Amino acid sequence: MDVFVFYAAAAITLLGASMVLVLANPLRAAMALILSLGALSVIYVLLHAQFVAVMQLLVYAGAIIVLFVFVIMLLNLEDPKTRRSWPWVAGVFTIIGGLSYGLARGLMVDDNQFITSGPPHVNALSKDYGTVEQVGREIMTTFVLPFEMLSVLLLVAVVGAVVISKKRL
Amino acid sequence: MNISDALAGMPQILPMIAVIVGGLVTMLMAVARSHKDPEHGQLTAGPFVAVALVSLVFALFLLTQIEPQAKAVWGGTLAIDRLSLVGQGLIVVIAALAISMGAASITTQGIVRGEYFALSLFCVSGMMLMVAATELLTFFVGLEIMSLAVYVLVGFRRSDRRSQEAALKYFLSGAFASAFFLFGAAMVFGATGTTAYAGISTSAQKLLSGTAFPMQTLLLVGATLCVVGFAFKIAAVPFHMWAPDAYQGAPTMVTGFMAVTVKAAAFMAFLRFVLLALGDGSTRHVPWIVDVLSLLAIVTMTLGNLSAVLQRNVKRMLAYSSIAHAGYLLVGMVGALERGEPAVQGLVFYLFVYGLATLGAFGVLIALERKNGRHDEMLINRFAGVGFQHPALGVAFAVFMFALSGIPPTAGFTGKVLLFGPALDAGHIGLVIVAVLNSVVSVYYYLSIVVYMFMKNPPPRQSTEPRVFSPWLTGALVVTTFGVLIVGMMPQRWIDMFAKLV
Amino acid sequence: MDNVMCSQADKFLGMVPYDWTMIVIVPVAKILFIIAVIIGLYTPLATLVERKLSAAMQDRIGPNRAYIIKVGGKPLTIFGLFHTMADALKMFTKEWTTPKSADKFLFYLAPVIGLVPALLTFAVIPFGPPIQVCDRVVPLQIASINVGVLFIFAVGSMGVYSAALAGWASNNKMALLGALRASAQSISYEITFGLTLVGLMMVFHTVRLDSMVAQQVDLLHWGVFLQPLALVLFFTAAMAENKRIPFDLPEGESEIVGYFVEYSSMGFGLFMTTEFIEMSAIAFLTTALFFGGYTVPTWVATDHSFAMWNVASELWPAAFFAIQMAAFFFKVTVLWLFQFVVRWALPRFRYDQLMRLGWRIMLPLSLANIAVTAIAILAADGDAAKGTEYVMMTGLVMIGLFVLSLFYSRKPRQSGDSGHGHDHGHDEQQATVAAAHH
Repeated sequence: MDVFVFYAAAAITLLGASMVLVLANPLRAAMALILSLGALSVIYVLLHAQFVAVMQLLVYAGAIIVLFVFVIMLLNLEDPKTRRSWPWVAGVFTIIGGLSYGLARGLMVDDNQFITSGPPHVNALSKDYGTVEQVGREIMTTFVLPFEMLSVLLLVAVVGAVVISKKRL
Repeated sequence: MNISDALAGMPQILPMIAVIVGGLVTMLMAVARSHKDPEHGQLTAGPFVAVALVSLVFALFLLTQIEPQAKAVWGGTLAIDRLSLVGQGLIVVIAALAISMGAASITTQGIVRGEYFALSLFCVSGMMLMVAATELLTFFVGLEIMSLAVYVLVGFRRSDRRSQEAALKYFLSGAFASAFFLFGAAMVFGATGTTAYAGISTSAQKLLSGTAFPMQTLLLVGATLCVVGFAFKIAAVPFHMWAPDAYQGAPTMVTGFMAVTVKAAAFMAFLRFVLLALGDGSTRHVPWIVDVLSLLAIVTMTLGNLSAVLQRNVKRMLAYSSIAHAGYLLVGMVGALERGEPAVQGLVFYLFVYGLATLGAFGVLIALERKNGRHDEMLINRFAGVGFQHPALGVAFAVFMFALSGIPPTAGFTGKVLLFGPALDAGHIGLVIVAVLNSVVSVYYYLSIVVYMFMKNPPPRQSTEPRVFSPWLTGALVVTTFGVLIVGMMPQRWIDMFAKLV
Repeated sequence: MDNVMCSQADKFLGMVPYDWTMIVIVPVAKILFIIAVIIGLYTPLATLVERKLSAAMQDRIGPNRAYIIKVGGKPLTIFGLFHTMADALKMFTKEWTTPKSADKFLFYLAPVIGLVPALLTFAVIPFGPPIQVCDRVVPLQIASINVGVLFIFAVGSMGVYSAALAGWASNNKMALLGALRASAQSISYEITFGLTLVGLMMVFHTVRLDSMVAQQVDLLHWGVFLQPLALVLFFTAAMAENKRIPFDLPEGESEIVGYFVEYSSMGFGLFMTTEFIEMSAIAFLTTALFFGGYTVPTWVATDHSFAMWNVASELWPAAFFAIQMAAFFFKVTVLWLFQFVVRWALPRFRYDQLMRLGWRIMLPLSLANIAVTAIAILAADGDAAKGTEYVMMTGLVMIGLFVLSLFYSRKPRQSGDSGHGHDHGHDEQQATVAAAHH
């Protein structure tokens, strides 16, 4: 069951991602990106990362892509006059796909071992791994320093954005 | 583990907090000033520089008070070994000099915003976090704090298209670098189940000693992507494309700041990652890392130097020179991987020397820049006869050029000996020969500016513009000039400072 | 249920594997129940209530003519109930037009994208007490997932794409303007929407809605008493997300008509349905979070539980269950009706007022609410009873501050500062106008 869901979600993720590349209409590309991100969050759930899965939806699909869409609408981007040529895209896909497949073959000594058993530390996970409580506890203990330093990062981003873009300083 | 255990590391981050507080104070000062004086015509840099320097000096003082220890604090995210403390100290000192130099051009170059100081100080705090981080996430947060601040600083002169273009280019390629690193970090985490360097090291040893385990490849691919991310930040060829444009387009004071501090912070973090995550200080787990770094070093040095020879724009030339120096430093890193301790000492010492010399060179450029606030093409013929018009600046610039090319008695010579020595010891003779040949090539373009300064007559029409006297810039130039000379002539005391880092 | 029925049921269910009962049959039953209640009851009623309530508020009679049969020579109108059917019939049978230059795929996708998240919201809201069916305990909540209320944010944030896509795909200036307004408004109020609940999560130490409801057995532990300011902000932000008056800038009928201007027939009907479903979602959610969900309050609280009710629940569980369900839907209906009242009582905001309310009043207040709640919890130092007391006291203070801030913000500022704010609005206006002229 898990394996089936994984393959389905992975297929949708890849489909969405490749549609982002191929589609000429920017808004459609953004929608394809959402599709890809949504399917990705399903994979996160399969990896016991429920919190990450929800945050993926909330932050990326719910906030960041909204900003993309907002910008697309503000700039009123038209379809590019020249469509991207299919052979070119297909060629790139073939190369990337081949490389990834080769890499995956390299990774998998035993074809099924990777997905069914996973790395050893994943199997040894506690039951509440990846839950909100667990992630919260980790953030407030082990990772409290980087977490708090993120506030400096955000401050820099805000100040920087104002300095760069405000019309009248 | 609970929150109080984690907070036990509070004293160890006080230096960082001091810098952040300095940034906050300057930021608020900028706001207060902008309310009083909406035109910003006469923003005096003095108070800002004073606050920034006080916070940096205080941070340095706090750093000297911390006793180094082997065990990481803050839940294993922050190292306070000597490498971390000395590295943070190095960054603080260089940043203090760079900020003092910037004070002159803040009024003359039309960059009349107090936020410059706030962003610089936040940037420094990010670098300190980077250098001290012994865990991938913490490092990444530090990296992003630094990077974001520098992107903005590069584009700080908003009226100038070049500055904007530089910022955009730097931002885009920097975002790529971050993505590379993050992807690699995710793979490393997937393979090892931890983001702490110590855990990665243990896990990597176990994984890579086996042969058939699938996680091995994942770890290696991840590590490679992380190395690519680092290579972007230190501007190693072929990940250097952003550097010339960013260096040239950025306001000169920012170029000086970023040429030195970004490189120093990225290199020390790189060193820690390669030594302690992909190895355990003395042995290395990833077999090909030395070959990769050697190759990177050769390409970087050669391409950097050859491109620098062709440049007519001095800022751009210095950018390529800094790329070349990244190559030299990579040679030192190869030595560090092979020999450990003495090479690390040499590497950090060279970072110090490179920092002083490069910063000094950019300081002279700041002093010579036109004062009308427009972008100044720093072409090499502008330097004709400058040695006679401004003898002190000319001599100082010559000293820095000698140091960068590694000519005794400047510190550059000592630095290069210490840098290349361990690699030579370890049997990388070819690598060192290439490095030395490259140094010879670099002498050509470094000295060509000196030739212009002292052996050519100034063009007749060029009026000698009155220089704005800035005590901060003068002071910083004096410190860097004499620093380069004194460290070169009496190196032992300074070398000892960087001993026993790992 | 008695044993005979249980054994019968078991015999019937014995035909399917055990797991399927809990994994498929029970959830599907719950989903069908919710859909029946929402789409079958609340949404059709909403059209009627909207008209009748507005009529009552404006001293009119409202729709009262539609009928199907006559009883005793008089048309059987039942308070205009047949208007609901007429409305639905009209929606379905109108001509469906699609603009020639529309992006067809996105044009048809947009209304659906709005509907799905609105319905998904109900998945994690408990609508009744856990019931014991034979030897199994069935929670009356479609999915009790660990991330709980965060799930609602996640799917709720998808709703904005509906408006954005509709506006874009219509290829119409007015629709695009509406979509822009909708996106901006949604982003602005989503932050407050999320932040207000952080205080609630802190008080209840959980993000799971079933656990939150279970902790509100005592009347004094209702979210409304622990986090009064959060309730005000949450409800306001939720209504702003729903884009109804007074937050209906994206669909300002008198000026730009809105992102659905090109939609007709059931396309428009879906947008309207979504709006009404979201109203019930807000009512459901607010009930579960702030008004104790299915719990029945009593003032005779001894030992933080009510002896009388406990006895009753043991003596006659079915009746107790019925009372709890009734209580839940009573609360939901009151909150649902309240939204109609607000819609007909308040005038629309101006756009800069809307933005100012979101960013300058509600966002800081929601942050302050979190900070103050944290201080109160910290001051209680782990003492649960004391903690409740402190949180309630600070909650009252916060409400006072809120009222003060409303007074303060109503005064137009004369200093140079307000010029700044004005500039903002001007910039935005210019930006949107520029976009429209393209």
